[in-house]
Amino acid sequence: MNTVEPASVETLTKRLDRAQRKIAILESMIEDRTRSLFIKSAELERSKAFLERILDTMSSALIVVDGAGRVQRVNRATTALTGYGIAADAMPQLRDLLDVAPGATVEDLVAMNGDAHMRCKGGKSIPVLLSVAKLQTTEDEADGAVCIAVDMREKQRLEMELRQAQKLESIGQLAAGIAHEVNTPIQFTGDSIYFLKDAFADLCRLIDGYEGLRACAPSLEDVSARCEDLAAMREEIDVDFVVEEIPAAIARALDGVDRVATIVSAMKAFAHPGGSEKAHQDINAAIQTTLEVCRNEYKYVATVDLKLGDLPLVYCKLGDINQVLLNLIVNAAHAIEGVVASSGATGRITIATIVEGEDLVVTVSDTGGGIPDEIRERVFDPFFTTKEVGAGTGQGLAIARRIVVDGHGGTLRFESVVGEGTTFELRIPVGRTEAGA
Amino acid sequence: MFNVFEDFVVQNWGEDFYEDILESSTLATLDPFVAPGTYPDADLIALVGTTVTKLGIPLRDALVAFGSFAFDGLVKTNPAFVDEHTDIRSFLATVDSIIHIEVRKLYPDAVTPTVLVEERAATGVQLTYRSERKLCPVVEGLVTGAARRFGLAANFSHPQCMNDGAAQCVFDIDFSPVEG
Repeated sequence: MNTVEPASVETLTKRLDRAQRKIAILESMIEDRTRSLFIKSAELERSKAFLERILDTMSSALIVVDGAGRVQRVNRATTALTGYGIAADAMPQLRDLLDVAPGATVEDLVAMNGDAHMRCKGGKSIPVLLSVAKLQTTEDEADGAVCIAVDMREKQRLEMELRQAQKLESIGQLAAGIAHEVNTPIQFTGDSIYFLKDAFADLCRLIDGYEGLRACAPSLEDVSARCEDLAAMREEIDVDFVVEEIPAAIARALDGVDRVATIVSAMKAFAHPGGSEKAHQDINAAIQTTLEVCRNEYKYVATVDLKLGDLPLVYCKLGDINQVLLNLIVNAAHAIEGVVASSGATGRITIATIVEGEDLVVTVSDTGGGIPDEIRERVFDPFFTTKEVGAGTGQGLAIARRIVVDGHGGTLRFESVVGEGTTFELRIPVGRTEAGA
Repeated sequence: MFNVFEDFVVQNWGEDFYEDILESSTLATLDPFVAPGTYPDADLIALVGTTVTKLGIPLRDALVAFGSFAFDGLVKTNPAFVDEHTDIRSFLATVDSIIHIEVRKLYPDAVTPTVLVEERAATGVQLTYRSERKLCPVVEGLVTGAARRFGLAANFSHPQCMNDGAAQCVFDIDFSPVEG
């Protein structure tokens, strides 16, 4: 270090002057910065208010948690949905809002993406579609998560309505066939009853003749003439034929009544299979019922080959499963009809049931034309149909898959060979409890 | 840096000498230098050039000495950047990733150099410096000042230098405890 001489007066004067100019510059800079900060602060406030407005306008519930899974922020939709307050000092715990274990981490939350339930104050539970995204600090690290929960109640209600509408549509489409199925036995039952009516009148007439003969027995002069009349009447009535045919007519009439009763019973079982909740059900019986209901759809184009295995009762919503079976069987019949057309030939629908491991497996195979490669990916799309306008809405398989996959935790898939046919495989857990479904 | 340079000159050679340098240098900036301002590099180079001419010392030595002095001045304004480290190598690793980022936040017009640090051997580092200013002696002085802060002496080898036509300066630096 050099020995520094004290500054001269001239230097000190210059430095003082420069110091004063520095102060003026710094004051000006501070003023500029202050103004800039004020503007930036106002912009920040506007942005904050804008973001607040967006969050509170969202119709979906928003929950922001920190890295330890503590709730940091909820929006008004969350409050409206759950009843918990929005104030920062009254923030609910995460396990108050979602079905999570105490100490749930961000990773646990991310794993919940998809269908979930939101808990409300008072214990009510609401089905939601949960979307969880990590709040990334860097590419590899996160210090929280943003959860968006969409209330699914209205969607589920609409889906139920759509499913019901499709069921009614199916029944509507089957109505003509069912009427035909009922009409045939009704006709031969009617014919038999008319025959019995005529035969009964004839027999009554003959009995009257015999009564007349018995009445004139004391004056024997009329007997001979009366006997001739009765012989002629017996000839006319063809009593041997009547006696032979009456039991057959009664049997036909009873058969017709049984047939109608079976159809009506199947219709009732199909349309009103019990409550809307899952219960243990006989799937083989459900297949028989469904075949009965849609007999007219396949009986002219296919024979049905049943290979029904020994099944335990399956925990399911029978009405929904009936709907799936109906869609598969009718589709199989239509696929075969497309091949045999009006040639008079018939194809084959094979329905098999079996238990594999924990699953019930139902296969519906047809000898139709198969599904072309180019439309295979769209088969389960809503509103996709290859049928003519008015013949199908394209909802059948879409709804069938939702019933099987979403409603029963199962799978619905198919294998198809063009020119040979298609096999649909329905697979659902046999004994799954409601909690696990 | 301009105010640090003023302190450096005043402390070593007095206020008269600094006024002399200021009046003898051709500067683009007419107003006094203030800390929050951003000024042309050419002005600092002009001041340093005038200083070494008047003192008759080599430019490189002056820049190294200035860098070493400047480190203490810079630490005074933001001691936390250094104080949270107990190891010089971990501190040097934050120069680019933290300190220069903070500088650019405070002074949006500032152009900071690139300083990459990789640990080398048991106690050393390899420091790569890239800047259009090519002020590698200042870097050497700053690292010397930093080493002093951690009670170390820095021994430099400088196998690549931008002033010799290299694309970047590479320093291999070994640190050793200051004896006594």
